[in-house]
Amino acid sequence: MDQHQFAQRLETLRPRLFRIALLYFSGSEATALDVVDEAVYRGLCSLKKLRQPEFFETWMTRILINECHREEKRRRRFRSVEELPEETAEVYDRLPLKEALANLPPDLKEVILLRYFAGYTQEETAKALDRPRTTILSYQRRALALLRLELGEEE
Amino acid sequence: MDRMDEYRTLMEEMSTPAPERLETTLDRALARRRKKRLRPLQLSLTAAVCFVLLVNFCAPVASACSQLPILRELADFVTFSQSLTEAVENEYAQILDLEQTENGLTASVDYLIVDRKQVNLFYRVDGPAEEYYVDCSIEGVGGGFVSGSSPVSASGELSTLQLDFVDREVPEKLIMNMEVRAQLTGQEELEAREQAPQDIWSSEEPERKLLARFRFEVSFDPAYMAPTRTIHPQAAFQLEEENFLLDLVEIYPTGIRFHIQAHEENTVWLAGLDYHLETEDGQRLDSVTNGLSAAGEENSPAMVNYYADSSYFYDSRQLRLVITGVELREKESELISLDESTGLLSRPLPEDITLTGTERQGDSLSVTFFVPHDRTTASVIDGYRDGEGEQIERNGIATSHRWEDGGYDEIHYLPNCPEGPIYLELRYDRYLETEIVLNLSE
Repeated sequence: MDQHQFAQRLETLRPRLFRIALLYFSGSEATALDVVDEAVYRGLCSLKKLRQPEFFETWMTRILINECHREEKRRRRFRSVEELPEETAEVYDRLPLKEALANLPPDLKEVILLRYFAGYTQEETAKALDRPRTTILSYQRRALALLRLELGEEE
Repeated sequence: MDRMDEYRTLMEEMSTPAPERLETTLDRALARRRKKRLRPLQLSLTAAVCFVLLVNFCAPVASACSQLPILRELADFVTFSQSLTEAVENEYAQILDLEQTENGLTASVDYLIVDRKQVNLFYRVDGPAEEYYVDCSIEGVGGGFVSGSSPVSASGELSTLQLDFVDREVPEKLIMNMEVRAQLTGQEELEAREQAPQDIWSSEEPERKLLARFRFEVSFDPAYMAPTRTIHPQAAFQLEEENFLLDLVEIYPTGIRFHIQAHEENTVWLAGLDYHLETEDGQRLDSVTNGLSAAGEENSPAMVNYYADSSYFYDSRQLRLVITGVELREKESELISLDESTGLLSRPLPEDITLTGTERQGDSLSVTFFVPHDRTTASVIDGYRDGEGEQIERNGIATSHRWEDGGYDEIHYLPNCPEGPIYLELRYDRYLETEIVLNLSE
């Protein structure tokens, strides 16, 4: 893929990446924009390594998720943001959906964001997160149960 | 509202238009990538723009504080850098608390993170406008450094000026000048950009009204200039038939610098590296992405010094360098002649790069190329030579995007270009994927 194609494909993908980052960081627009900036820069610098252009969207999404991890790690050093224990579904019930989502364990949060907010299929989600499809399905079920969302499991 | 209603509301919220800043994310990435690698030419340019301003006043410098609690505001601000984050977390940052007021504007230099090789000054401008255009410059150090700062500062918010001292150490003191100007409105900025090509190296900027000038003298506590940890790994490695030696690693609080020496008989220069470092605990340290990431040496396009996040606060004793890709540049060059009177080249340029015009003003010549988006002239046009084979100085490169044409204009400025034959000197880069692991021990 050349730089021109990168620019074209990115234009379509950009809002999707922003939505994922925005929800990842509980609606913080500034953080989401910073993370997307970083992901786009890293994607651009690593373009030579993308061997299969058809996987551009999932490849960029994986870069974005990695950036979200890095940012989350930095933020956690300084703030006492603790993930809520997964067992206590009632704790999630007390939170607005956006906050409940932001407080999910990262693995579950990423699956939900990609599947139900960014519109990825299970297969695309599995590719973007580099996990088996069965794992994605399992995370998806656990997360939906914790959030008490009745969304379809199908593609 | 039940959960499904909340979900629908949230989805609606998400479908509202994204902020305008998102539209220019690629522009920022492209500009940042161009700035990423600085060669000696650009280093000297950076030093050259350090000019002296009128002396208005001078503030005393607060002495360094130690054993500070973690500075929450600074900690939140430095998340762009793993090394600075660690520095703040490990109470290495200092509070300066310098403040001056002029024309209703207050400027302050609040925090400092410094070691032998890097200075990070954290400042802010506070006033009635939402944003200011702040031009920072340094005097009293005689060059030899690369500076980086974002000129637009939101009123009352922290901004940073980073200085990397490349071939020398941080001096005992320096003077930081700040020119605060009115920020243009979005429309004014657009109009200014349309009138002038975007130039990431030139100091030319659209006209902005000067509001105030500040001058801060900052001296550094010698305790922060303590010797760093130095390793001489003498780790040899080979790429194709070319031989290289990792001979020096310096670990500072603000970063790691390592030096790679090339065998003099090599047919290529090492033009870039993709790599990361690992500690024995599995901590990954990446190359710097927000500042100086590589530096060259005089009279060669080789990149010999590389900059990565620091392991200083991890107390690591067994670092590993993992090289995953390399850019190699052929030493053999090829010359193409440029006829200034006709604007024609003796043969076409490679990689679909085309010459679109030349313009002479006295001794200076500007040469404009159209470059497809997936290319860069830096990969082929290494420099200019006159009819005697002497190098012609190129002191700036400007770019202007032409998205509709699938590329951008790139203008090269040659300030002292003699009339007569001019030659473009071409060299070729190639990228190799690899996996080389080097242990950074004595």
